[in-house]
Amino acid sequence: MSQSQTDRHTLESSLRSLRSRQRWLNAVDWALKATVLGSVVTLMAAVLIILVDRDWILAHPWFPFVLLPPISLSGFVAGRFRPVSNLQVARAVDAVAAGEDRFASAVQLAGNRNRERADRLIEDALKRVLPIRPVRVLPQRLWGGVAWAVLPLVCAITLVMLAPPTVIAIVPTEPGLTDSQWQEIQQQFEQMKQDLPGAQTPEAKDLNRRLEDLARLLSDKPDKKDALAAISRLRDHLTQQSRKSGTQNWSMQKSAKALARNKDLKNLSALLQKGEYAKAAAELKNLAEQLKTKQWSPTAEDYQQLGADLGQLAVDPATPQDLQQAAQECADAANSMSRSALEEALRRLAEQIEQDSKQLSNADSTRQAQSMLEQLERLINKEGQCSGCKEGCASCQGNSFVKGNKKGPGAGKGGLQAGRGSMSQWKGGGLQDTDEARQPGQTNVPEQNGTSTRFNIVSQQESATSGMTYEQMYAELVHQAEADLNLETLPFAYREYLRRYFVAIKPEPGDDAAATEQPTQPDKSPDEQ
Amino acid sequence: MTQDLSPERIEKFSEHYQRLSAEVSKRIVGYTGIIDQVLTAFFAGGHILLEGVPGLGKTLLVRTLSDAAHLSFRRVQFTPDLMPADITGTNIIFDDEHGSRSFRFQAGPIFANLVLADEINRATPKTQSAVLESMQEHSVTVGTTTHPLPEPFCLLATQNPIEMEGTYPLPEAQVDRFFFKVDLKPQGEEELVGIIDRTTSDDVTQIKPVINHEQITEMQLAVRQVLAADFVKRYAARLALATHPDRPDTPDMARRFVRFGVSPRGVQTLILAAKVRALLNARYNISCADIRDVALPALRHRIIRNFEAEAEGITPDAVLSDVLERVPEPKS
Repeated sequence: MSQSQTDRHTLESSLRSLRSRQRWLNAVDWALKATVLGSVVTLMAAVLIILVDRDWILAHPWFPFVLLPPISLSGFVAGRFRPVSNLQVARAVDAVAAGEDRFASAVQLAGNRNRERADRLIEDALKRVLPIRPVRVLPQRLWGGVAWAVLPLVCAITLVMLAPPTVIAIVPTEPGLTDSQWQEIQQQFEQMKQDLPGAQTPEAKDLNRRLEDLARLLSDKPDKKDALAAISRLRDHLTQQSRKSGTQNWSMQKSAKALARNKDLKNLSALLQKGEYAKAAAELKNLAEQLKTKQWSPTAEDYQQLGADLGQLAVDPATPQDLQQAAQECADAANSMSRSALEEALRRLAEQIEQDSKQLSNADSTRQAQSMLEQLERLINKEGQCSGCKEGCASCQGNSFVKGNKKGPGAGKGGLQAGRGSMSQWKGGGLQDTDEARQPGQTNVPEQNGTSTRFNIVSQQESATSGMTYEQMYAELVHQAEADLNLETLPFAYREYLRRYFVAIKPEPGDDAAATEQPTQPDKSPDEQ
Repeated sequence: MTQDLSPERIEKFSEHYQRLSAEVSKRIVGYTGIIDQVLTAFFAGGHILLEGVPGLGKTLLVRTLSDAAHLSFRRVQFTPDLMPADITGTNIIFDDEHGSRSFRFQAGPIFANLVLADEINRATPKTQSAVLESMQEHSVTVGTTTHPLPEPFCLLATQNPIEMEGTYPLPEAQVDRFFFKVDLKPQGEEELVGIIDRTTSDDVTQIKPVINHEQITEMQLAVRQVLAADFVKRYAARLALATHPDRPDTPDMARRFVRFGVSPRGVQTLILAAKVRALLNARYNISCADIRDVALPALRHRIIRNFEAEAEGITPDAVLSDVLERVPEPKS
């Protein structure tokens, strides 16, 4: 091989080794850049997955980092195949060897038509550059930006490790109702609707329409919370309606029962209890007519009894005020044993009842509907709860909720009585020692000397005798509280306060006597003491 | 048969060049760079425009060069009344011994190897244009006859930048034909002392011819044998194009202050001048550094500035320096 051929061969092989090195450097450079890009992508993926499904990322914390190696590898491969310019590597050689573009010119002019001249150029160039190694010509320089890859990766690792788990529902998710349970509820609701009196007034018709809507909702087997929310809304609507009309407390049921004791007023009592106020008014007119025609001649005892019974009607706070007045006139007339006065008073009472009959009917319908909705709520809340099992079930979560007097964990607790049901964790009594430590802290504000004013308001209604026993009232409170808790997500700590409250007001055996207690006297103010 | 470029020829080139430069430097004090530029242009086969205030030694430089190179030298003092025929020559009536009359061409002072056109901007444009053909074609046409000029032929023109009254600026076409425009700046103290020593005593420096006609021709041929790689040619072309204000990639300064950019002659000048540089550095190839070294003298007279540049005092050198800074060398 001649010298020129050797030189050309050397030139080509030098160029090849330089190109190979440049490809490697490109691959590393692009891999580093891809690593930075990959770390940013990893961070974004970690954030996205945490936002979408936190628990999954906690179970698979390695997932975002899976993206990094393929991205880096892709960068490496892309850099490896990136085109390498002969001129670029040749000029790099000249720069290191101070070749004054000899090598680059030799590479470009190797094919010059004046071969002899080109040979000399190549020979001259190789003399200058051959001692230079490719590593010195193309040194490995790490891309400065690679430091930026660290930050996103650290952020991603921190996010994944410190991502809080999904807040566990403090209230265990209530099991939904099954189709059969919904069906049963619907049937019972239909039964309850049929028991309602026929709609006579526009308000009653509106009520029926709303109840129909509720029935349709229940037929769709909605979520339990949605059903309870709909019932609650309807109850609020009824309450507002009756408050607006001023008939929220109107009821002649109790006073009508009192009239039943009187043999002369039995029919009237029955009619009033049924809510047939027009007929009741007609009965009163009939009685007045009988008095007038002397078909009915009450004795002195009868008059006395009439006065007492009609007096009950007059003092019943549930009786409308104008009816109270009319009833009081009847009672006075009866006590005065004046036939004519009594006849007159009875007629006036009848007219008054006629006047108020619509409102009384509406009040009755509303009250019945409220009661019906409460029962419906209880039905829905009752469904899905453990109604008594020996060894625990999914509803009581293995607490072996046992009915009646049978012994077992949580013994003595069962059914839907007060303090039972979902409160299966109750210890059955006073606060435990450990509970004391969980009482909320209270600020200790010393009482200052100074004037203070205190006054008590005792309304007429509060001084009256309660129509329900305390245990019944307590049960109502518990059920209402449970129904409201179903609609809310209450932190566990607050549920504990609620539990302690109900424990504190839980009726003791014999509390029924409280129904006959005299109303307490109002506290005397310091000025009065 | 023409010899190809060889290490021996390169070495001889460098040797002759250095010898000539040293000889000229004996009389010309302090203008090493100027001498370099003049010799570069001379060996590249180009013409030189020397610009400087009076008394810097422009005429002396040319005369010294002619003495050292053993070349025929003519000096033409351009004045406003100078006619073209005074430069090129003319046909005159000639009586022979037989008494018949004929026209015979009387060569003008242009017929020399080195011609000094002193204060060329003092002559009228008509007279200035008389040297156009000689500069480009190395010939003179009088009537119907073209007379070749002796080779090597180099026109060195001088002009005074401070006297504008009574002068005729060279047309751009003629300025473009000069290979280099060399700006002579006043010397410093040391140089002035050297001038005093050499010119005010009885010790007169004698200039010996150190190179002959054939050697010069040989050297000029060697210059043209130097190789130019594609990337260097592209670099030279990009530099020239970067002076054109209408191009999208022109630097801001050129775009703002240049009316007309460098012509293709400028690119040729860059390459030829770079080739001289390459031979001096004992290379077979030109480099981008060679192009940058010769860019200023090669291009400064080819850029036509606009009024804003002249009003703000932006020199062509400033524009070219900006272009050299902003135009990158080819990488791929």
